[in-house]
Amino acid sequence: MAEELVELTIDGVPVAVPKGTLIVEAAKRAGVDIPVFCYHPKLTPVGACRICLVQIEPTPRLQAACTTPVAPGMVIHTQNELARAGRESVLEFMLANHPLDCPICDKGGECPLQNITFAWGLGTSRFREEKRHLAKRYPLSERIVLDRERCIMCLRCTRFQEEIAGDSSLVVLERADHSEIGVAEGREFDSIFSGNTIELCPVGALTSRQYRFQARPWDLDLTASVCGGCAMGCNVTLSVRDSELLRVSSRDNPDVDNGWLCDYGRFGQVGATRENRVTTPMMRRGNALVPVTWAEALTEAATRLTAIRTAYGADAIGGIASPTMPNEALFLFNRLMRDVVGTGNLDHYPRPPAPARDDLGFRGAIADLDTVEMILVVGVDAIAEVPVLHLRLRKAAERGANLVLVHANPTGLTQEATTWIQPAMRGEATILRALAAAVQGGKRPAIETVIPVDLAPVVAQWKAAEKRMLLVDPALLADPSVADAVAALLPAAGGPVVSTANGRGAIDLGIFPAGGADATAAPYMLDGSAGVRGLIVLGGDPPVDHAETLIVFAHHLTAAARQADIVLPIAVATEEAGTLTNFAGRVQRLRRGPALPGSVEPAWYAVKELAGALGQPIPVTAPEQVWEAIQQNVPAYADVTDAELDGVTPPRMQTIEQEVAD
Amino acid sequence: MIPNPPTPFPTREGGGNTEAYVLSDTTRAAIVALKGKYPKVQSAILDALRLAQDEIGYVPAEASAEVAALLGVSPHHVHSLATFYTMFFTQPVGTAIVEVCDNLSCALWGSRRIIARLEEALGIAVGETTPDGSITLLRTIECLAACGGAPALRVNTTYYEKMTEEKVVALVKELRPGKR
Repeated sequence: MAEELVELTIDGVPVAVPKGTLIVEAAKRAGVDIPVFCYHPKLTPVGACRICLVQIEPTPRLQAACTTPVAPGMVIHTQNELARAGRESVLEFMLANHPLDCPICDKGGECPLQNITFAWGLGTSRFREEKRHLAKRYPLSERIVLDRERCIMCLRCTRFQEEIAGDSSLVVLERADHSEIGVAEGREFDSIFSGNTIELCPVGALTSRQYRFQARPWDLDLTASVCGGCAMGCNVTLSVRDSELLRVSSRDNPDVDNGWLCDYGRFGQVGATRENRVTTPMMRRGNALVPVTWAEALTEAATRLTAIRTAYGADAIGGIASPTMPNEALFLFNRLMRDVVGTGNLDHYPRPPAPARDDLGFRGAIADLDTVEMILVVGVDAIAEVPVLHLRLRKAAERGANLVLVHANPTGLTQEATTWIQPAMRGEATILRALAAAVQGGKRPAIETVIPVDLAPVVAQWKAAEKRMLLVDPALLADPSVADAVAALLPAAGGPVVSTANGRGAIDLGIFPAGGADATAAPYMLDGSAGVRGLIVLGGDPPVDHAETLIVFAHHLTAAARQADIVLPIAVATEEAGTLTNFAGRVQRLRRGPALPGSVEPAWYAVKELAGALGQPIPVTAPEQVWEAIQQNVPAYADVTDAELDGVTPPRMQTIEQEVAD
Repeated sequence: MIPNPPTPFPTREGGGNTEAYVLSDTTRAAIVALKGKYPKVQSAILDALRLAQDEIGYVPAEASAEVAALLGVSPHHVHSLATFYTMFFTQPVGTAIVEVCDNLSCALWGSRRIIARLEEALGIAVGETTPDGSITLLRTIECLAACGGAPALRVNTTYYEKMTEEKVVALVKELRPGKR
């Protein structure tokens, strides 16, 4: 299907673009720079700021390039006297009331208003009057502060909350020249996507309370990495100054996050590098944990593990890894337990109750949500578990995809869903079985318990849809009959949404008890019933009830670390180099942003060191080497390319156009 | 650390303490009945706000929040509309609301002097209500569409045109409690 092209000329450059393209987008194709404030490719155009005024022949009046679609034969001028004068006037008006205190503004250095004034402004102003005075440092929430004097009413923030987040949690109050950004009286800007508005704001009006006044943008070192908060795997930019992580911002990847980030990923990860850290190895002396050197801690750990193995055999030792650890750490942990210690007592915690079956892996990609006709979401509360997936599902519903939600409680998606089936307790399983039976056998859905739900329409829609996706809570798959049902439905795209940051990686790398033995699953190692005397915990904070010797690789002083006999300090996600696998099976690269605090080591390195202390060194010196070994050993990862690992957008300052080359 | 997860979609309907409601059961029922009236529920917000203002005399924040909960829409969006439309009041107002036009025609015919005289006669500034709560003086609403009778003002729904300073003083006397 050939797209209908429209030919036009911009500043003398001929360009052909699809019908319906806005002039501002056509100009990019022609290599012509039209400045914008209110325009954003992912938001509905409003033409609020007028900075994009251009002249379209023969009309003598200027028109907004961001709201005018192209027409055949258009001749557009962005650089003639009329357009230049118009742009200068718009800027002069904008700056009439905007404080010119860029040196003390947090946005200075990465501010579109500053940059566009520099590029296109007149340099002087005819306004001699007193500027308007409005609220400054107005706290909208614990995370965001508003300076109303700096606001130019571009409405990017309110449009984001209305159109993308769908919660209208930030709005315009009052009208005309009294308009201001705000929230309902007595309320907060209470969206978990609120931080995106800081990046969208083209001036210093919305700023991060966590980051503001911590650095000047030109002093920041930017690193491209991936968020370690949940299984979405949003691409991020880490901003580091003097070796310290100061902020996390988005790094658009249309296949994953579409340029958005949730507040957990944005603000939580910065706090995670600072608060409650373990920065030195520690050993228990009496009731207290006292700092020791790595050599002392590793020697003691090896001595105690060897003693247990000699006295009770290797199966008296067990290992539990957190599914937030990078693949490299998990892979070496597997080697440590299976090859060095010599036991199959290995698991990750928390994890979905049943190990994955080959026919239950995730098929297709997150971006398929943009094209499928029908989406069936069973037991997944996206906004709570993988927030940015919620935005993708909302977008699909907005575009008209048939979104069927099966969830016992109202979720963030209830309002967007075409159909919400609210089963009674544990009814998700029943409905999945019934659906699969109906889809397979062509029978009427046989629902074995009393649920006042007529599944026939959903079954009919599922059968009729050409492209469909199933997103299912992995916990439901513990029941073999449900697993069979899901497998039967999975010629469609989709699969289980494992929500922990690298839960999918832990499954892919086989961090499970030997032979899938239930008796030595993590819960039984933790409560002592698996007969484990020496327990090695890698990251996370599993509830340890019983262990004679407890060795914890800890990033924070968790409850598990407090109980430990030996604590080995490891990095958090933003300090790690390695890879994470998102729920859809996409492997992406983590890069270290800040310096490692104290004597913290990357998890893969710490695990390798313990293997060495046990007398069997693992000969790797860099995480890239471990990744190569993973590619050789895990068939699913053999073909992962560098392009997939790195994403598509280089690290960047905040607010500069969130765009990806076409 | 990681910020507390906010509740993305507050659902108050069907729960909560009825004593905390600022709207009567009748008004609440009328607002709920508006839900099916429009293709999009957002369209019912203005009707609902009008019902709330009819009952209370203005739209306090609590009433906005209640309208939002009853219609299942964002409380911020409801507050946005309540502040956008000049015929909704988010603060208490007097029984008589005096609104003076100061758009171009009225301004040319001396509405500034009319406003000054009103302030003097009422003993309050624009935006204030007399201490007895009877009269609120508002500037400056947008054009009253009475340019032919400039300078014009409006008391509640009644227009007063071709106002002079003398006429204004007489009007204030008329508006005082007991006179109306």
